[in-house]
Parts: sequence; C-alpha cells; structure tokens
Amino acid sequence: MENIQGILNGFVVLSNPSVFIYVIIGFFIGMFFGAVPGLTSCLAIALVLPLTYSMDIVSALVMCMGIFMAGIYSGSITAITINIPGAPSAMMTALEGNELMQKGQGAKALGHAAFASMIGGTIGSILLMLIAPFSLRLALLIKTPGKFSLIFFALMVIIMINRKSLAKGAIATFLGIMFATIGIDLMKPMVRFSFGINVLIEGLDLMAIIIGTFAISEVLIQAEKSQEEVNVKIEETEHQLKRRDFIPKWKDIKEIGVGSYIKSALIGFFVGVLPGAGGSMASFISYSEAVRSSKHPERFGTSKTLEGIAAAETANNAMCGGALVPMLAFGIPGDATTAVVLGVLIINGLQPGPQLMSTQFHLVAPMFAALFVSALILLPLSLFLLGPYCIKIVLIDRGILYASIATVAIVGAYVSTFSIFQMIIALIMGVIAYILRKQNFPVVCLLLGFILGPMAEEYFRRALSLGHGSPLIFIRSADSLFFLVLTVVFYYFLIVRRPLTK
Amino acid sequence: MLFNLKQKINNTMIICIILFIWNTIYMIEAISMGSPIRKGRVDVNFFPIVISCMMYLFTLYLLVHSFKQNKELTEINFTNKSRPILIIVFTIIYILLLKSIGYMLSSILYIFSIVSIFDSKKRSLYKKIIYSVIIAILIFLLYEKIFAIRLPKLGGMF
Repeated sequence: MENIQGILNGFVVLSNPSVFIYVIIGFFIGMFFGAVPGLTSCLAIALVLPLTYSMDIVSALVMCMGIFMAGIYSGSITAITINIPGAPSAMMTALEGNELMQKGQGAKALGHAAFASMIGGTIGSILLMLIAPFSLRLALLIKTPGKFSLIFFALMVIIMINRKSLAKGAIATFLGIMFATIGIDLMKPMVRFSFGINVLIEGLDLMAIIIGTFAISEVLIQAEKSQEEVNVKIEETEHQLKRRDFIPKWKDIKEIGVGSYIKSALIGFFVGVLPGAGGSMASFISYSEAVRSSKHPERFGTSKTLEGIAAAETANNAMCGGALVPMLAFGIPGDATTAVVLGVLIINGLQPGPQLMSTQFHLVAPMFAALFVSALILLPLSLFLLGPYCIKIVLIDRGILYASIATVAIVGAYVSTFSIFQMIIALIMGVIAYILRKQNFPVVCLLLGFILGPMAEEYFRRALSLGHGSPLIFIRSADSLFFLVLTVVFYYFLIVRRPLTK
Repeated sequence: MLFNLKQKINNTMIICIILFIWNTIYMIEAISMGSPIRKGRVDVNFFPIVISCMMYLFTLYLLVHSFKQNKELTEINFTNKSRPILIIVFTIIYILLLKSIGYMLSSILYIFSIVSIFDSKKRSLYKKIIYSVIIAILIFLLYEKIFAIRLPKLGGMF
C-alpha cells in the first residue's frame, strides 16, 4: 500500500511542469540520439551527465528516463526508412521494416513499430512498478557473502552473454575491474596501483571513464566513416511518409495478436533484468520466439508480416523497465544505459540498493512515472508530430555534430572534475575504447567491470573476514549458494547448450 | 620466416600482446605490495592478483585462438587512421589550452579543427569559422546560462 502511495506521489511530482519539461527535453534528446546511426541513448546520458551536477536530482533522473525510452524507440525510424538501425536494438526491426518501406508501406511499419514500442514500454514500466518494491525485499534478505556471489553472478552473465567472443567480454570486464583498483583502497587507507605516478592516487573518475568510453571513442570511430551512402537513401524515401498512415489498423493488430505483444513484453522485461543483456538481445530473443511460434514463419524477413516488427519493438522497449530493476535494487545495471544512469545516481551522492528504495523512494518514484508517461504518451505523439521529419535527422552535417559532441564531452569532463588529469584520462579511455571496439571487444563490459569491480572486491573481503578467512562461507551461506548455483545454471544454458546459435 | 610471421599477426594479437604487457606490469605492482594473505586474512592485493591471473588466462586463450583462426593479413593501415589520430592530437592540445586561454578561444579552434577533419563537402574557410563560433557560443550558453556551470575564461570575459 505504501508503495502504491509512493508511486502515485511520483506521478504527482511529474505533473509539476518544472519537472515534466525535463522528461520532454530528455525525450527529444533521446529521439535525436536514437535516430542518428552511431549515436545511442547511452551516449546522450553520458553527455548530459556533467549537467546533472547543477540540476535537481529528480529532474535529472526523469530526463534520463525520457532519453532512455526515446533512444530505444527512435532507432527503429532509420532502421525502417533507410535500413540503417539508429540504435543497435533496432537491428531486427530493419528486417521487415525496410522491406515494407521499399513496398511503399513505410508509414505503416513506422506506425506499428511505435505502437509496439508504446505497448512494450508501458508494460515494462508497470512491471517495474510492481516488481521493484518486491525486489527490494529480496535485496534486504541478501547478506555480505550473498552480495559478493550476486555480483559474481552478474559479472559472469555479462561475460557469458557475449556469445560472439567470451574471451573478449571477459578481458574487457577484467580491464574495467583493474582500472577501478587504481587509487586509494576501499577498506584500508593505502594507495594501490599508482605506479609511482602521484596523480593516479586520486584514482580514475567514473565520469572520465563514461565520457571516454562512450563519447570520445564514438567520435574517433565516426571519423573513419563517410556519409554519402546515407544521403542517397534519404532522398529516395523521403516522400513516401504520410502522417495519416502512421495509425495502425485494428485488423493488423488482431493478426499479430494481443498475446504476442504481452509475450514479447515479458521477454523484453526479463531479458532487461539480466545484467549486461540490453535491448539488442531483448529484440533478438523476442524476434526468434515470434518466428518459432508463428503460424507463418516463412513470412518473416519479407513485407508480408508485421509480427517481427511488433515482437522486436515491444521487447526492446519493455527492456527499459527490466534493466532498472537490478540497478535500483542491487546497484547492478541491466545494460549500458542503466550503467550510465547508475553513474548519475552515484555522482549525485545516491547509492542504489535497498536503502535508496526504502528511504528515498520519493526520488525514485518519479523515474517510474517518467518511464511510463514517455512510453504511453510521448512515444506515439512524437511519431505523429515528428515522424516525417525524423529521417532528416541523419542528414545533419557530421562535422558539426561530432565537433559538438567532442566539445561537450571534453568540457563535460572538465566541469565534472575540474582536473586536467581526469580530462586526459577521458581521452586515454576514449582511445582505449576505440581500439577495443575496432576489434569487437564489448566496451560495455569494461564500464560494468569498472562499476561492479570495487563492489565485488569489498563484499569478497568482508565475507572472508566474517568467515575467518575461509572461502567456505560462500557455500555455507544459503543466499550465496543460490547465486553460485544460478551462475552454473546460466553457464549451462548460455555456454554449454548455446540455444541461440541454432 | 619473418614475412610469414608478419602475415600471421593480426590486430587482435597486437591487442593481446599489449594487454599481456599491461597485465604483467599490474601483476608486478600487486606482488610488490607484499603477501596477499596476512595473518589468515586477505590483503589489498589479493583480489587484484586473482583478476590479473584471470586476465592472463583469457589473454593467452584469445592470443592462441586468434593465431589459429587467422586467415587473412590485417596489417595496421595508417591511411584511414589519419583522421582519428588528428582528432586525438587536437583533443590533447584543446585539453592543455582550455584552462590557460579560456573556453571560448580554445573551443573555437578545437571545433574548427574537428569540423575541418570531418568536412567532406570542402566548405569555405569562412563558413567553417562561422560554424565553429556558433557552436562554441551555443555550448557556452548551455553551460553558463542554462545550467549555471562556470567555464574557464580568458581575462574573466570568455
């Protein structure tokens, strides 16, 4: 009952125009970053991160939610219209979406993508509101050895989920953990891994890591590419979109089936709960399930069905709600964007976990409300108002765009640390992430390792102290054993059986 | 022999070798802190040593794996890397100049350099300068006026 009251209060806070304006601003920022290929909602939040210092924390968090929801959705616009997914999570949408576009039914595909995103985002937000308080109670049951095993489980899942190269995921994660050990030790007043360099005593700032990994590396990656191909495609497709065709027909929705929307939303939400999984995996699994359970699997990948678009878009937007559950309850981010949102919380002095949810629920509840409103109202409204113009976003001059991003990133690193050293760290991290990305190392793992590494170490050392140095404490403690067994179960399903490769 | 070896080395292997060197430096630093277990309790270097061992394991695995899988010659091509390298150089200069000559002047120079690097339409110098000034002013207004965050200024002005 208390929680319902708290969530309703969240909606009341959000109804304040001075707060709601930030959801709208965030939504448009997210829509822009989601629609431009190469830019993501994660990068958008990384860039606004330094600005959150001077903002009210509730406004900052609701803005992040607007960016998150819009960034995931708007990737489908360029995926459908020009077959270039604006965000990686829209990759599956491009399969049928662009086929429909080429048959002159682009507006219909966009309408269904927005409708599915709306359904997915809304169900995901509702599930978040229902499950978050419950997960808080679960979080309270976990003691120190269990907390280590939970983070160990999360780190292992983050590594295992990189099916393309397990070793690359592991290396990126360990590199992140190693970077986090630089500076003063967590439990003893002792400097570690400064390598005789005085400035390293202060350690590496989370902000510098985020800005380097996501913003600077992206500018370097984009510097190698050309834009000519994109321009031609836009000129060909621009005239095909008419606003009235965006509204999905009931006949089509019935054909897809209400059950399919709900199933895809549930898949998306629970994939989101998994650490490191993210929107791409949510849409991929949901799409695969839609193919498996469809009466006409042969229609997938052609313009004859809308089921694939519905499955992928419902799932990736439902993922938004799911990804917030482990981040808020345990401080373990579900995907890259929530890892950066976690940065917003930490930088503003809030520590995610049971305490945040129980004593500062008034700060979190507007986030839930913002996610819900973004999905249910802003998402369809934005397509209707801005849909025809959205594809023009990719026409923006790359020089101006990336010069602005690079400047905001470097100035952001400066204003958040006022340290030339941390700015240099941001640049070095950008170069490292650029090199790693070029060789398909998942840099999200690096960030998650950097965030989760210190927590893992702290609980590991505390648990061993409690167990008088005996590692058996991790097996004797029931909650810890549960997560260790869960790790083995996930290992079996993700690595030994490898169902998704079939 | 040397040519064959060169053909066998790809970028992933180079990264593995760099990671191997970094990991060795890290491990030496960790070991130099003393015994990882003291009086039956793990010390500050225990966890880093465990991570470093895991890093060795996976780096070696990837190195061997990419050596076996290597089918094509992938030498580092510096021609398409020139733009990222230029951006890195200009960013270093920008970071060093930001505090000393202030936000506005350093940012105009930095934005101008990035716009020029990305410029595929061969715009006139005049246009690029105008764009750089406008972007620098917009970012200045965003930080200073909307979010009230102070930026470094030359002579207290810009």
